[in-house]
Amino acid sequence: MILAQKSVFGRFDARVLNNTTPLYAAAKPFEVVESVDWQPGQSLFVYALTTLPKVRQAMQIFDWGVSVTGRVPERIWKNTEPIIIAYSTVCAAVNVQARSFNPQVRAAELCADRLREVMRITERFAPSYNQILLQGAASYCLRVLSRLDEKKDEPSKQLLARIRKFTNQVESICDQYEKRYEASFSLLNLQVLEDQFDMIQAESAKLRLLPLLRDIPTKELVRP
Amino acid sequence: MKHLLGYAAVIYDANCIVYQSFSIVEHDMLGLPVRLESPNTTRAKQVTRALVNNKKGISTIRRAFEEAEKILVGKALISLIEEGTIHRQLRIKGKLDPMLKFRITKNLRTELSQIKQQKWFVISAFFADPTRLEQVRALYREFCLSPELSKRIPGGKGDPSDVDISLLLFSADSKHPLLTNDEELYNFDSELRAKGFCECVRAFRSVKV
Repeated sequence: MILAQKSVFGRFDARVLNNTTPLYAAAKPFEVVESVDWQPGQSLFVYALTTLPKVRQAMQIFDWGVSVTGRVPERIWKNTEPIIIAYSTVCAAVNVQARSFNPQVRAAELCADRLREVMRITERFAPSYNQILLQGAASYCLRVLSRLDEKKDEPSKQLLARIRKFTNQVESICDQYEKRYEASFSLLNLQVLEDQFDMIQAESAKLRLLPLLRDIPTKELVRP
Repeated sequence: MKHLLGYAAVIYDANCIVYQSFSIVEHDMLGLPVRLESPNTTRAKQVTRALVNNKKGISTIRRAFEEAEKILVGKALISLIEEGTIHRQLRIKGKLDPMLKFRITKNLRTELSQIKQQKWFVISAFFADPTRLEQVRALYREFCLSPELSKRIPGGKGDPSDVDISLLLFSADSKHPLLTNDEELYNFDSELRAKGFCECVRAFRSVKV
């Protein structure tokens, strides 16, 4: 059970009642909140470090109406169906999304959205090994996700879980370094992430979704 | 080269290390293997070969090597992409996918780590004394204030970085010359030497093989 409420500072503060403390959730604001049980009369305040027009734009995409003042329109919160909320305060962009609950398919789509966001953020970082690593890994994972969508077998689910875990960590790093410590981002040791990316490649190749990066023909790594 | 041969070893800055290592094999659009090299790689390899043949060692400091591994490998690739070298060599018409950039950069980094295995290459754990670092920074502030000397600082360049200054001080400490492509370092060779902040600083491009 997850409840959501607006914190004093306007931050989207997920309170995970079962297995963790509010402090933990607040300290890790980039974990995806898997589902929210909406109660009639209960409000969800969504906060994003972005401008109101952009939040409005995000809401429009998912048909949430345009009266965004932090409160979700009534017709949504009266709906008792669980809703997936992915929230990310990574940067000034559309980063609030809502989908109807359908874990397997939606998780891949959400993950892809978040990876696109990672690519957009890291594109602005100064060139370095780490920047190129995150961009390359995100691009690879996006291609895998586009081929993974229809697969429902257990190994595919495991691969999706691995990519999501990888995405969580990458998002967290992007957030920390985007606003405050960008200059030191290039000096970070991201070997753990690189190892995870190697495992994603190995699993993707095993499932014949995408070969290892070193085996992909160059002509497939060029954009028009 | 003659003036370098009087020393037991020569210090490379991060750029020289990247030049030396930037020689990797990638496949072009037709699937044919192509050797990608930076414009300075041939020269760097000639200088290194000449030094090694004369039984000279090559060294650097850990921070400079890390700068090469973590920052310059990426910068070097992006600069070759912007110059169009990578597109020409791989016969690419469109944009490189970030995956391809990463594949090349990873190979480059692997190549860079090979240099560590060489008997003639040493990475020193030298750590510059903060007081001395500050003294060099103060000297560069003086250079900036002097109308005559400030002309020697290339446009758009700030003060030398901590890594650059550490390399200078490592040169002074080890009594070995520093090879670099940074004008703001080798343009002040005599002033830095006079203050005991380096043994000597030579421009990489001026070394005759």
